Amino acid sequence: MNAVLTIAAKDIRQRLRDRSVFIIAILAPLALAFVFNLVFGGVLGGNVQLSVGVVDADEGPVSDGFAGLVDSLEAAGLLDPTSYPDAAAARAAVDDEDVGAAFVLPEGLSARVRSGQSATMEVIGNVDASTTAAIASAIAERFAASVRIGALSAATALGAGVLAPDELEAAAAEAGMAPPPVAVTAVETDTRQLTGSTYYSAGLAIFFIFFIAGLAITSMLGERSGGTLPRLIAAPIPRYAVLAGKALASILVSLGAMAVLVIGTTLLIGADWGNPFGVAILVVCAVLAVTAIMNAIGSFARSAEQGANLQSVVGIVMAMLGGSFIPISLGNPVLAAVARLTPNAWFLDGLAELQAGNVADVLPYAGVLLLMAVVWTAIGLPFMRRAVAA
Amino acid sequence: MKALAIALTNLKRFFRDRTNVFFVFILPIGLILLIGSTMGNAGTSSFGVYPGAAPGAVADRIVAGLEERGFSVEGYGSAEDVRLAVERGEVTAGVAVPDDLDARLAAGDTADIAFYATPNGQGAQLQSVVDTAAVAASETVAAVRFAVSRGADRGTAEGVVTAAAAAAPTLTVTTSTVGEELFEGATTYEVGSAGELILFMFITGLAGSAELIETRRLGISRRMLGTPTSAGTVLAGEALGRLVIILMQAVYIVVASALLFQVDWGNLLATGAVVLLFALVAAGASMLFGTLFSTPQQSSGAGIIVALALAALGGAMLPIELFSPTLREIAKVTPHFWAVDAFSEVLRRGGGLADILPQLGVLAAFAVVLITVAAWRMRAVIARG
Repeated sequence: MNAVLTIAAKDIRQRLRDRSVFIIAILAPLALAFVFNLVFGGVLGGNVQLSVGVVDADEGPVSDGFAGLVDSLEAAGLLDPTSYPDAAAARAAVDDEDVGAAFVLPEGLSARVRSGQSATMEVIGNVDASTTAAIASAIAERFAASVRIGALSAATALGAGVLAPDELEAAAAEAGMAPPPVAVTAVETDTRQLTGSTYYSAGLAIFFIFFIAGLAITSMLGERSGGTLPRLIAAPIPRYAVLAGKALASILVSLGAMAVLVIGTTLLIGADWGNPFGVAILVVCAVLAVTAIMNAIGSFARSAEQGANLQSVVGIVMAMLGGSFIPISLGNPVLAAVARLTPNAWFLDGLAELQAGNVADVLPYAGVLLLMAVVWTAIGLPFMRRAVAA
Repeated sequence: MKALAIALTNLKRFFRDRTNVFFVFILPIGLILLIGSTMGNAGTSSFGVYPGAAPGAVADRIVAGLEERGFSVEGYGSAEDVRLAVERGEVTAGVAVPDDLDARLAAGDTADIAFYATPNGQGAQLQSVVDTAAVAASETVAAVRFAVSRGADRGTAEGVVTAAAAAAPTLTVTTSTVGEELFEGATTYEVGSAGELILFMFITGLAGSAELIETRRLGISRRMLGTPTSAGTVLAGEALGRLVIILMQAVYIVVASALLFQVDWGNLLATGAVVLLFALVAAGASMLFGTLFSTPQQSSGAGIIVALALAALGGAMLPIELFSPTLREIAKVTPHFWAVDAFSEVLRRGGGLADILPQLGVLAAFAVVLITVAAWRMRAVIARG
């Protein structure tokens, strides 16, 4: 045990003396998370309030009814309406992206509806904001449906003989305002997603850990080419102690780097990792998984350089497929399945689950990461033994 | 002539390391494929829907109404599954229809549909869409309810409502769109490929700085200077070696993306000019980096940071059109911006050499400054080792 600690301490000292560990494991993820968040942050976080333009050329009861709907949506914090004098002005505003979409209520709309004729209102959207345009049309259609339901209700009551013809108009107005038989109620939900700054912080942190977690095996290969390995083996310590000491060193360095990153990104770019206890569980399990993977991969190599090259290829491929750079699991089932093979995906998904505030939610993800650590250690161990043999 | 020999040796050393083959040839194409296949899904909103255990006519019409309004609808087996899918961001918003919706409405009762959206996403807006679909799907139910509330017999009202619905006036909503489509005429692969090309040319350049340091550390440069070879020739040879590697990768990415993803690189003369000038910029940056650090690990670590950060800032990862106005100004300090800008002129708007002269001028200025500074610095450190 003593020998394990001595070797681990020596390896850690050796790593810290080489400043590249600081560059790769701390400076790089911090700097890149900062830049990525700056550039991509605005795209991930959507604006909830929709700005719309309204053109009221009708100025009758129907357009008043629409104004009432817009007011209620504004009061609910969903709409930010601006008035425009005519359709051309509204169209220009949409084109310039001053507003996301615009409603045009044409002249004579109320008169046509009152006389039972069909009428048209217009929604102007921007080609590059299809969702905004769809929401605006939905609001207009909701209003159109209530106008139609008013007329339909009054006509049905008339047909059923419970309404006099001169009551039609008043009844239509009343029925149009009546609450619909099918109400839509928003149910409060938690969020199980990472904000932009947290996503890039976590994704880049785990990505760069790949480059320092494999040091156990590469430093072993380095000891061999440097001629210090035979001396270690000749010492009165079991061979597993050499391996264990080196593995311990790389795990501790990785954990230290992760701790600095979690705190650093929280303070510097406002990342919100979630419950510290849950974060700690995921970080430890992820570091173990990455350490097992990288050391197994490195053990296939014959020299430290070859091992490091092989490791960086695997690290980059796993980061790409596991969503460390771009959230790839969205929408594509094949890619989502492939992502499941990487610790990156399980780490990021576990953190996302944690956002709902329940530490127990991370346990399945931590469990899979531990399983990865066990499987990859089993794969790598025979090769690592070979590396430690003289 | 000697410079060519030095460049050739550089190339040989580069290709003897097989991981370089991965980084230069396999990784870029893999990334273009990955980004191209994910970007197609971004931007459209989707609903997760639980239509109820045995959906009736109204429930069916509500779900159909969501699809008619241009949203993709993903079915789930329970309301709880819909909620989890929304919380995880698998769908933009969710809808759960109660199992007894149609039965309740037929009996004259009202019903509630559950709507799920995360508190801070765009999903909350989509409640209007569900609301509209639900109201439109239940218009005859509403009309019958009204008549019954006025004292009509339910059976009679249900008898007249169908004829009344055919005669009732309709307020039609027409939707028109304005504006120029952002990436009109460009596939997601085309938007992605130009960015990747620029990103990787620069990464390959900066990664090469490690080999320059290795050359110095191994004493190769000192031995070269020991022969009757001028420092200028050694410098030219090293720079040429880097330039050839970067250009080779660029040509490979252009050809491979054209063959594999049908990317149309437009006017070849214009594309070639951008590639050549940007390769000079990357080679200059590579040489400069090679003089700033003393170990290959340091320079490749810092190289990755600088290359990725400049690519992100310069619009090689995310289209510059999506940047905020301030960020768009900041982007102009990177050479990447000018290359991306030139490519969007050539690829998307069919521009030729004459249309991108300003961008080419800026790139040339970047190249001249970087190469001059690098040469001056290298002269000082090359013999040091």
